[in-house]
Amino acid sequence: MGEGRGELETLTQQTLADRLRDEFVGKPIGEPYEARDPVSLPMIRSWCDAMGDRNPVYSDEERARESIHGGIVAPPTMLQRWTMKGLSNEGPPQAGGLGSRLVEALEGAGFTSVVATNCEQEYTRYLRPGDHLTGTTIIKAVSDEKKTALGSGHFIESQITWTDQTGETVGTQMFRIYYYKQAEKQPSSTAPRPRPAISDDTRFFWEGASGKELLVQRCTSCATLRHPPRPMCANCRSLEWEPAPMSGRGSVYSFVVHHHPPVPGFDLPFVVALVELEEGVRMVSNLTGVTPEEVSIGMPVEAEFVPVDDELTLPLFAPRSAG
Amino acid sequence: MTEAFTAAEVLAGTKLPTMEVPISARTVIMGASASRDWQTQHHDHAWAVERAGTRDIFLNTPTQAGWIERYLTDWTGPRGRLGRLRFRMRSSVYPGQTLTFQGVVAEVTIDDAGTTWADLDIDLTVDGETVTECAARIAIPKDDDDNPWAKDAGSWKP
Repeated sequence: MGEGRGELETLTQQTLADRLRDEFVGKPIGEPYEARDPVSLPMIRSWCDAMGDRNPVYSDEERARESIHGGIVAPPTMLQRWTMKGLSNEGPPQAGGLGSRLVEALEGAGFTSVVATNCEQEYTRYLRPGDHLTGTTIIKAVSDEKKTALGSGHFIESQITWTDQTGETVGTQMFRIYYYKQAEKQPSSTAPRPRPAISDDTRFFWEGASGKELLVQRCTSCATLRHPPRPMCANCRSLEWEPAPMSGRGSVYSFVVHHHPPVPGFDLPFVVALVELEEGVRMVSNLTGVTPEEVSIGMPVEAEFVPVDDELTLPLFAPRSAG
Repeated sequence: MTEAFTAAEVLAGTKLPTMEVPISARTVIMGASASRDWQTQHHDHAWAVERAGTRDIFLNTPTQAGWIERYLTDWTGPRGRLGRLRFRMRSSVYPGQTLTFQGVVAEVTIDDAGTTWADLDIDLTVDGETVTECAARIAIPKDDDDNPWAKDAGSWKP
């Protein structure tokens, strides 16, 4: 999966794209850009080092001299490299660059990140040390605003033509790049768990959990257990109750697996289970120590008190051996 | 011997030997430097993660082109002459991954200037998933006496 670049959706807002098309498409970016240096052996050798390319006609002067070339030639795929800027990244737009006005327009609209998506090169003539290239870039297309896994942005297509010192074309390149604004970060499991809403009715339950005790309400009139906490007994309508400790043992009465959307504080997917305690009351919680595929109805489980951070201990349920 | 490589042994369906390149930060930056591509996402980890939202720095386009060329000429030997590369980068390639190159000959043709062309489909994968798909066109020697590099401007038609 990773950072996919597929186009997922076309947005309706097109004003920036229209404006960029009017201003830039079909026009060259700046003046033709003359390479700072001619094609040279040291640069060819650096390239071959980086690519692990041991083709002798690129870097072995003696063998290249004996070959049909009578001397070193440059790897065809170095084409664009000759008109790249120096490492200071200063000066006029390089061939392949979009030029400052287009880049500023995109960055000004928040599209500050860039990836390349398509490249098509054609090698008309091979190059030798001493050849001196000039590149001319024309913007061919600006897409409407698109949405990809990286974020929303615009695809920009450019066409570069390189000529040599005599003005003859030596190669061409179509380059498609994607200027985008980073997608909003997904909520991650590093976020804190949501806090329980604690009331006078529920405080005993959370205090019990922090002391590793699983407590539910027991009516002091008729001894009926109830959960979740509420003021009145459904059996005898008494308002009197006391907290009663449970064994913590039970079984999965029902469950769902949450796959989407992401929830802060949770790793996806997670299991939400309705656990029936052996004392008879049912309790909603998460299962732990088990994958969603392994969960089944009736699975024996046991309470586990998980301190999720300094303030909060949660009673979760983990599988136990039956019996 | 690569010198003896000729079109006689190349047919549609011929598979190229698989090439594997382990990717590290060093290989990413070395490729960026060799292609004089000083865009931040190809050398600055913190910037790539925080500003671009990618998981790490990633391979630049010229390095992918350079490796595809090497993959082809490792197969053809020095008489192979690259005419055209078209590739689509579906997802980025990061340090820690191993990039696997696999290629198959789609078609072998001879043009009206007598050049023998092999058209190939090249698949760059990481853990079995395609990250870059490429169509390449490379001239190969028809026989021991032929050399595509001898074609002059008038007879070279990539």
